[in-house]
Amino acid sequence: MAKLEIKYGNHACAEAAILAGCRFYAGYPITPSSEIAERMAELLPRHGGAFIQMEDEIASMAAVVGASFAGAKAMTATSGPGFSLKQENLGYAFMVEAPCVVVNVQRGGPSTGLPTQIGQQEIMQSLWGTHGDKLIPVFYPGNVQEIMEETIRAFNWAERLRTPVVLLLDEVLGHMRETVDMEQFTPDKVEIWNRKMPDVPPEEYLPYKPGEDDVPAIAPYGTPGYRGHATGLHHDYTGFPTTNPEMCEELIERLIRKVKRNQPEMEKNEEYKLDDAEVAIVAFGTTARAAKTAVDMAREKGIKAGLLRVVTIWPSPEETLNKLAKHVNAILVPELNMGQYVLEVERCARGEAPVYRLNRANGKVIYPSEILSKLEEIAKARV
Amino acid sequence: MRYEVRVIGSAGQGSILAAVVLATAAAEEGLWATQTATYGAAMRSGTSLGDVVISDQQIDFPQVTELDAVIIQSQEAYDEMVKGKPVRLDPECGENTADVLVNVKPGALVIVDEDLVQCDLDCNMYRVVSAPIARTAAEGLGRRQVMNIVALGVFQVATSLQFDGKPLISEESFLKAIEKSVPKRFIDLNKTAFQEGVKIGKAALQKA
Repeated sequence: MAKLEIKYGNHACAEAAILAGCRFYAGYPITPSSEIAERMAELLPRHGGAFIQMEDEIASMAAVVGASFAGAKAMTATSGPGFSLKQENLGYAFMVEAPCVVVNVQRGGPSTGLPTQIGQQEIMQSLWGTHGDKLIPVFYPGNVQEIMEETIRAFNWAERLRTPVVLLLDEVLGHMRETVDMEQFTPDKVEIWNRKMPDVPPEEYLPYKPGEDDVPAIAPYGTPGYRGHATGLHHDYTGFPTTNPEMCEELIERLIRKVKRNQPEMEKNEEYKLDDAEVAIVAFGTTARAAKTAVDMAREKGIKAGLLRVVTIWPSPEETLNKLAKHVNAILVPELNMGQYVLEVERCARGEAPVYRLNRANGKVIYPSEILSKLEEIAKARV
Repeated sequence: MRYEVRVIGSAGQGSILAAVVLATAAAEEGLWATQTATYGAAMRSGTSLGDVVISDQQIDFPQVTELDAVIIQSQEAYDEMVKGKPVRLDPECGENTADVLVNVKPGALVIVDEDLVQCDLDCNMYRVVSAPIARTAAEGLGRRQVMNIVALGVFQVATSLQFDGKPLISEESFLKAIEKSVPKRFIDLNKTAFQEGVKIGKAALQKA
């Protein structure tokens, strides 16, 4: 039985975080993400959690890492310039393996840009914004129902892999009200994963000694007998700094491998009318919704179009994209930036099909009719 | 089925709240809805608008492109929309793309306030329903602020013109939506406002 309810995008994110077990939020309000903080401030005290508005974005990310190390599921949300300020401590969270969720409700950039309008300009930054090599899972839902699903999934993967996970939304998604079927979110139906705990006695405990899954079982700070150390410096199994090249190599390779090896299980896409498609659109977020409508419009005009909507945008669905390129005559990547994910699609296509772009970064959405015109242009040239 | 509605008015007329109540009523009715709005505060000047897309299935593109109904609450809003023909409904978009992006379908419902809006639309092209919305709120209920909800009552009745004599969303769903969307102390006032809207809506349909 469907249980339909209208939900505001940003509120859906906060409510799903509570469902996922989030009990700590530190943040600094910024448009268009502020309603997430607002809702968390209301909900957390009622669920035995803590909400704290910090002095700035940098400190709020630091507080999230601290809370995570104390054992809490922790989250923060931000937008635009705030996401840039989060980057240093996001890298720290990756290095010390602090599970946490960082939500970025994308607005128009660069700099303060277009605070109240949509953008998709942090596709690359969400992966590469903080310095050094890394692989951070990045999920990007496409509707309010999926905001709830992906928020829960972000917490689950963060906990299972002990890694920060970035959840990308955009201004339209965050500020939209939409029907959600709440049936799947009754507590008995939601699958929750928790981080593993050490299964050795205190005297054998090494916080950064990984298990077979490449994930270490780090005890929450303050657990009697389980002493640990965390540092952003390269470290050995004890958590204390090292410059030993073998240890450093093992650490950086493991940090990336623990995410990469789970790519197949983490991959999530929506395929729409791809079976006989001659032109495929690859899109995400609000733009993918325009693309889906455009596919139907194109089919009415006799153009065999299809859509691959990518939800797990990093690690990217490399093989799926390569297969897609072999299967179609052309690929179109519409996105609200000057051309970011298209680079990844081109890389994965490996020349099997030409990749076209449709870009905009002026704060307005891409309309279905505009994608249709581009499809018609491509069909004339390629099909 | 995809049904698109825009509520547009001057700052402070509650256009966005009306859109929220409408979307909530659709969900109460078992339909899918998306609701978007111009973001930012327009309490004292300028126009503001709230859009709703309603469907019997999950909605792809969440914003409006082809309106099936528009509720116009002030002359200022009317003038802003109707700059030349075809009716232009995205005040922000440029002249060249205006009619491509957001249009009013022929046969669409256009609900206007009888006293506040001088409406010179082609009645053969649109189903224009004109009713004393603000007057009912101010004189009948003593609160001009609830004109947005009175307008929803008129809209509820008027959709029967488009759906073979049966309204798109029932009165009960609207009343439930009002309970969920407005502060507790204003629930009764808003419910009455809605019911008054239904009454003047019925009267307006008979007149037309």
